[in-house]
Amino acid sequence: MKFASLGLALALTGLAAPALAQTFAIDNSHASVLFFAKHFGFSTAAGRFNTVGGEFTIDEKDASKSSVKLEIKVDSLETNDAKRNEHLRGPDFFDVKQFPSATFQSTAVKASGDNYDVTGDLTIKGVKKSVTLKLKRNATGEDPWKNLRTGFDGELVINRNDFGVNGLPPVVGPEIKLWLSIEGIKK
Amino acid sequence: MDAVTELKVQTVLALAGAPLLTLGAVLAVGLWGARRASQPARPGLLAAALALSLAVAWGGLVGYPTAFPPVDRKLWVPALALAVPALFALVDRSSKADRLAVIAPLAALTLLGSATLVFAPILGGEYAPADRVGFGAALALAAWLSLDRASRALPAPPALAAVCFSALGAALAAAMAGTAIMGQALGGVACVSGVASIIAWRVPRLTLGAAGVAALLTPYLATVAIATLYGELPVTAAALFLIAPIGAATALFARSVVPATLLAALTAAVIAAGGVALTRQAETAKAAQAAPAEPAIGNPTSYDQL
Repeated sequence: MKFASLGLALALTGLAAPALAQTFAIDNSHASVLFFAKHFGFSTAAGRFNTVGGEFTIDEKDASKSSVKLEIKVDSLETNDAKRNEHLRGPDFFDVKQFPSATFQSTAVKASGDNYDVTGDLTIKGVKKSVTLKLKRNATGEDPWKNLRTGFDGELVINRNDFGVNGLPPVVGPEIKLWLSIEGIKK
Repeated sequence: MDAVTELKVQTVLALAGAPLLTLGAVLAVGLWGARRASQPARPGLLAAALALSLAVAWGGLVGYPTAFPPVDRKLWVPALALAVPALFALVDRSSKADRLAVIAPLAALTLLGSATLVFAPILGGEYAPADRVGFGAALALAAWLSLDRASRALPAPPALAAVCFSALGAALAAAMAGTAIMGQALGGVACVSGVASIIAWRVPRLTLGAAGVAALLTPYLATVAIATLYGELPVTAAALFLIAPIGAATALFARSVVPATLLAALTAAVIAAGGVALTRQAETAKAAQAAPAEPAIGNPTSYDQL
């Protein structure tokens, strides 16, 4: 009887654990990282990074135990102009041969309902700065193939000079707005 | 001031204003001091003025290191622009030394050491294979020794003019290849060496020496290499730009300063023009292969029209 009770307790613990902290792998096909920069102050030019990877863990009971890890392949940037893409990839801006990836690793997470303030280290061109990413959780549920999915939208404003992406200052404004939407598949 | 005017003012100040002010100030103070002491100008004066003004130009256009070692390896260049001429100044001080026996290995070690510092993250990999780096270093060494020989046998203007026209061509090609800032940095080298050539023509007691050659070539060669290995400057064009300062050697055939300078400038310009032509050809081919952007409606502008 004691063994049966212990077995039941372990089974319940085992069932309950994933509901507390679940880890999701980022689905690159449903992940978008867009960037917006002023062009001479005339307009806002937009671009995107096509290759985004990483994972996030959500602890439903204790949000502070949640975490986010993102990796962006900077070489995958796209701005609808081949010449501009090449310029942005080159030594004047992202210098992708020297710095192929940009990363974000969370250090603290606060939640208020579906809104998350994710503080973490953003590393671009080898320069690490602490930033706070505002994320809003969207729907959670199973896709037609029974994979559990959830996703977030969020945004962040950075100063490109802080990360050494300081080419052509008057042409490209210092403030860069990043908007991202990430969808994860439960591991 | 609107953003377009700000861009023009910033570029002119960084490319020419601050470097030329530095060049003029160092030479004026040095020559004034030498005049007071009734002595000829110190051999390292022109080298010091070139090293400082080129470091100011490069730092102003690309950036100065904010950490040691610099996270962005390109930012070694301003430090090297000062340190390498200081090293070669030691050769200038030792008049008894067999110069070639000292200069050749020292220049080779400097080139390989600088390449290791600036290109460590990609050295030996897909973007900077060892054979390509070795070939480039060999060409750079040939240019270095040739410029050193010309600077010993002739007054300073021919060597300065050869570097000026080499840098001018490389600046155009780098900008065409999509690295505008490296183009501006090379423009800074062209501007400083061109003005220094005119000053050295008017003030013949200014000599280059081994330190002056190092001051000219360190930022020039490093920027060409960065535009190629971190950027997209075609390798064939880069080879011509690395070797273009060899044009200074043709000045050895002329008998006076002005024809010697013109000959050196012309030879370097012809070699550099070959590099520009190769870059243009490569860019045209690349544009033909590139996937077209989404079609514009109405009156389209291209990124080249920035």
